Amino acid sequence: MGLIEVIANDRLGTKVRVKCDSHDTVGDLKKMIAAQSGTKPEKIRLKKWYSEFKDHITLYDYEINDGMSLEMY
Amino acid sequence: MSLEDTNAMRVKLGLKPIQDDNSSQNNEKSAESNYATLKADEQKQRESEEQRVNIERTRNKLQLNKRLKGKTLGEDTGEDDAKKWAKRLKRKQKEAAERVARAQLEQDNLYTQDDSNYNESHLSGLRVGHNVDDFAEGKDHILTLKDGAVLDDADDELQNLDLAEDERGRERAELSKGVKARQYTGLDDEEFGADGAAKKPALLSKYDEELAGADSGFRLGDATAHTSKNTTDNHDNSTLTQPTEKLNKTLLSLDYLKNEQPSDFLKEGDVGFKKPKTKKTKKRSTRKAEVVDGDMQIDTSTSTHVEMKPPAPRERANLEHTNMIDDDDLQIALAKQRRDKQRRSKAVRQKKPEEIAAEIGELDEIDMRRNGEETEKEFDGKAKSLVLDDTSEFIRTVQMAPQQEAQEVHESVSVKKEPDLSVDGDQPLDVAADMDVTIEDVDGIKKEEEKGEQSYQGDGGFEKESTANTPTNPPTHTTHAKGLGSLLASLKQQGQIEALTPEQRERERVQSESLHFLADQRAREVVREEHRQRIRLDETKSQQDRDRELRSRDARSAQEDKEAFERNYKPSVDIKYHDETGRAQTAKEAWKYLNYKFHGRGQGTKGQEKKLRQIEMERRQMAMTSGETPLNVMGAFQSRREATGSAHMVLSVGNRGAAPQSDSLFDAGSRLEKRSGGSGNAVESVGNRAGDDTTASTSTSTLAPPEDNQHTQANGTSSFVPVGSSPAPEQQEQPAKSTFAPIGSLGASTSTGTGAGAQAGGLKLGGKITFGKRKSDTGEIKQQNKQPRLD
Repeated sequence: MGLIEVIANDRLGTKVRVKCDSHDTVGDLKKMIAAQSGTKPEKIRLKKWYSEFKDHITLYDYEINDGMSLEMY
Repeated sequence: MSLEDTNAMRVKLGLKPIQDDNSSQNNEKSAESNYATLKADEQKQRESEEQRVNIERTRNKLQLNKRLKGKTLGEDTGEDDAKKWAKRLKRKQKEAAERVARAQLEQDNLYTQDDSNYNESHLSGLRVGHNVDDFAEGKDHILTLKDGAVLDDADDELQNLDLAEDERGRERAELSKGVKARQYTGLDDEEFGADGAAKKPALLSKYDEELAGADSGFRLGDATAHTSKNTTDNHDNSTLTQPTEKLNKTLLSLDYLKNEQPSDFLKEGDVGFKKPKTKKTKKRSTRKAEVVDGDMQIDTSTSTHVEMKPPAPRERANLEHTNMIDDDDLQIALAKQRRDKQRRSKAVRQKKPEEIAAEIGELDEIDMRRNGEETEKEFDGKAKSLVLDDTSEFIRTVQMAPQQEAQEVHESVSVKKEPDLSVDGDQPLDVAADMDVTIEDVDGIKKEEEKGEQSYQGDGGFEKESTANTPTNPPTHTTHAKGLGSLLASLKQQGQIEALTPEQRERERVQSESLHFLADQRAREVVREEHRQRIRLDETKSQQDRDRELRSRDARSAQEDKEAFERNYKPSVDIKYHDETGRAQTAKEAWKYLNYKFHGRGQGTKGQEKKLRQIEMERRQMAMTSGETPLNVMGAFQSRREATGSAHMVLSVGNRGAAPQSDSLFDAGSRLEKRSGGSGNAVESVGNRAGDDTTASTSTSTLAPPEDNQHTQANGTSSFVPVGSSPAPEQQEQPAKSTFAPIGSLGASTSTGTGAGAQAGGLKLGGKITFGKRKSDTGEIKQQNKQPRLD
C-alpha cells in the first residue's frame, strides 16, 4: 500500500519515471507508461532479467518496490 | 511528474488515484511515539528498581543493628574493680586444668587396661601378608603392621620383616633372570591348585599376578586358610597339616572286578578318558600301518572281485606290524572278544574245514592250469585275503605312476602273455573272499604279507598289470624317440596334419599321371631328336628326301603330341593366397584382402585386432596338448578320475544317452568298471594283435583315457581291442606307392605338388583317434563289454 516510483527504461532512449500504487497491476503500470511515453500499452513488455511480467499481477506480488527500474521492450 | 499530474492522468485512464497523503509521515510519527513510550517505560522501571534496593538496604541495616546489643568496649561495664576480674580469671584457669587432667586419665585408662582379656579374637580378621607355608614350624615370628599409604582404604596387613625381605629378594632374582624365564616354554603345563588338583591355565595366566596383585596371604581366624587355633598375641605357629580328604580328592579307587568282561562302551559312572592326548600318537601309528597295508593290497588288488570287506583283517595286520602294543591286558581282552566273535560267525556260516580245503584245492588246480610263476604267486596272494577300496586303489596308482612310464616299453610283450585268469577265475575268487572271514590264525596273514612283499619287490607281474589296467598318466605327447613314424603320428594326433579327402586323393592321382605324361613326353622328344639327327646324317638319301621325311615326321610327331596332350594333360590348378604373415587365406579372406588392396584402404583397427586374435587362437590350438580340447575336457576328466579314484567316467547310460544322475548309480558303475578294468589283461590276450609296429591303432572306449593311446602307440598294440573300432584293415587300403617326404616339407604341405607324398605318408601312419565319439556309442560298447561278467 502506498506510493512507489518505478523507472522503466528501454535502452534506446526512452526512460520514464512513473509514480504508481504498489497494488496496481502490471497492466495499469503499462497504461501509465504508455500515457507518458506515447507507445501503445499492449506493445509494451516489461521485464526484469529474463522474466516477463504479466498484466494481471500486481506490482506488490512481483515485489516491485520504490525506485526499481524495469526493462521495457 | 508530480503526484497531482499523475493522479489526474490516472483518473483519465480509469484508475483510482493514489492516496499518497501521509503514508511515510505516519510511519515516522508512530515510530517517534513508540520510542517515547519505550523510554518512559524504561525510566519507570529504573526508578522502581532503585526504590527496591533502597528498601533492602535499610532493612539490612536494621537487622545488623539488632545484633549489636549490650555494652560496647567504650561503655561502662559496671564492675570495674580488679579484684573481681582476677577472681574470675583464676576460676577459668582451674576449669581448663581439670579438663586436661580428665582427658589424660581417660587416655591412661585406655592403655593400662589389663591384657588378660586381650586374645586372638581381637586380631581375627586381620590380614597376614604371607602364605601359611612360609612360616617355619617351631619358630617364633613377629608380625608387624605393614607400611601403607594413609589415604588408602586398604585394611591393615601384618607382615614379618624377615619373610618380606626374603620375598622381595626372590622377586628381584626373578626379575634379574629376565623376561624369558616367565615366558611360554612350549610346554602346555597345567597349573596346580593348592589342593593338588590340576586345572586348565587361563589365557596369559602369567600376567594374572601383576594385574590382580599377589593374592598371597591369609586372614587370621580364617578356618580355611590355616588351622592354628592357639595363636597368642602376635605369634603365629601354624602347622602345615593339610586335610587328608583334600589330598585324596583326585585319587582313583584301585579295586575293580577282574572277571568282568570289559565292554567297548562307556558305562554310566565310568571314568572317562581325555581324548586329545592319546589321539596324536595313535594317528601317527595308523598312518604308518596303512602304508604297510597298502603294500599288502597292491599284490591282491589285481583280482577283479571288489567286495568291501569289513576291515577286520587289516586291523590285525596293524597289530602285528606296529609296535603299538602298550597295554597287554587290553590286547588280551581284545583277542578274547575277537575269538568269541569269530566263533559266532563260524557257527552262522557253517562252513566246514573240509569244504575250505576243497576250495583251496580247486584254486590250486586253476593255478596249475596257468603256467607261469608270477601268476601263481599273485593268485596265491589273492586267495588269502582281499582288501580293496577306492582310496587304496588311488594311492597305489599314484605310487605306480612314475615307474609305469619307464617300464612301459619293456613290458608290452609280457603283458600280452598274461593269461585271462579273471575271466573264469571269478568264481573261486568269491570263495576266497569268503574264506577271509574264517581265517583264524594271524600267521596266515603274516605269510600272505610276505608273499605280497615278494611280489612287490621283484618286478613281478603286478606292476605290469598296473600299467595295463590303471593308466593314470596325464595325457602327454608321444616321445619322438621312435622315429619319423611316431612323430607323424603325434602330429596327426594334434591335427597339424590332416587326413586326405577323396577329392584330394583323386587330384593327387591325376597329378602323378600328368607328371608321368611329362616325363614320357620328354623321353619321346629325346627319341625324336635322335631320329632326326640320324636322318640328317643319312648320306644315302638326297637332301630333298631328307627334308620331306623330316617334315612328315614332324607332322606325325606333332599329331601324336597333340593327341597325347589331349589325353593326358590335365593340369590341376589350385590358387592359394597368403597374407603378409604367410598364413593361407580362405577364399573369403583373400577376396577381402584384394578388395582392400584394390580400393587403397586398409582394414579398421577393430578388424585388425580381430584378425590378430584369430591368428593367436589358431597358434594356440596348434600348440595344445594332443588329445586335449579347447575346453580342457581331458584335464577335467583327469581330475575327475583322481577324485573318484576310478579309471573311467560313465558318460551315459542306455540308448537315450542319458547322463547318470545319482551317486549311487555312479558307484555301481564304478564297481562294474573296476571289475572289468581288472580283467583288462584277460581281454588283451583274447584280442588279436592289431597291426604291425608302424600302425598306430587306438581303441575307443570310455575306459581308455589318452595315455592309453600313447601306450598303444608305443606298443603297437591295443589293450582294449575288442572294445574299440578296429582300425587295422583300414590301413591296409592305403596306396602302397605313397612315399615319405622329408620332414621339412611337412610344414609346407599346402603347396600343391610336393606335399602329396608327405600327406600320404602321414595317412599311412594314421589310425583313428576318436575321443569325441558319440557318447551313446561308447555307453553301448561298455555295456557289451561288461555283460558277461555281471553275473
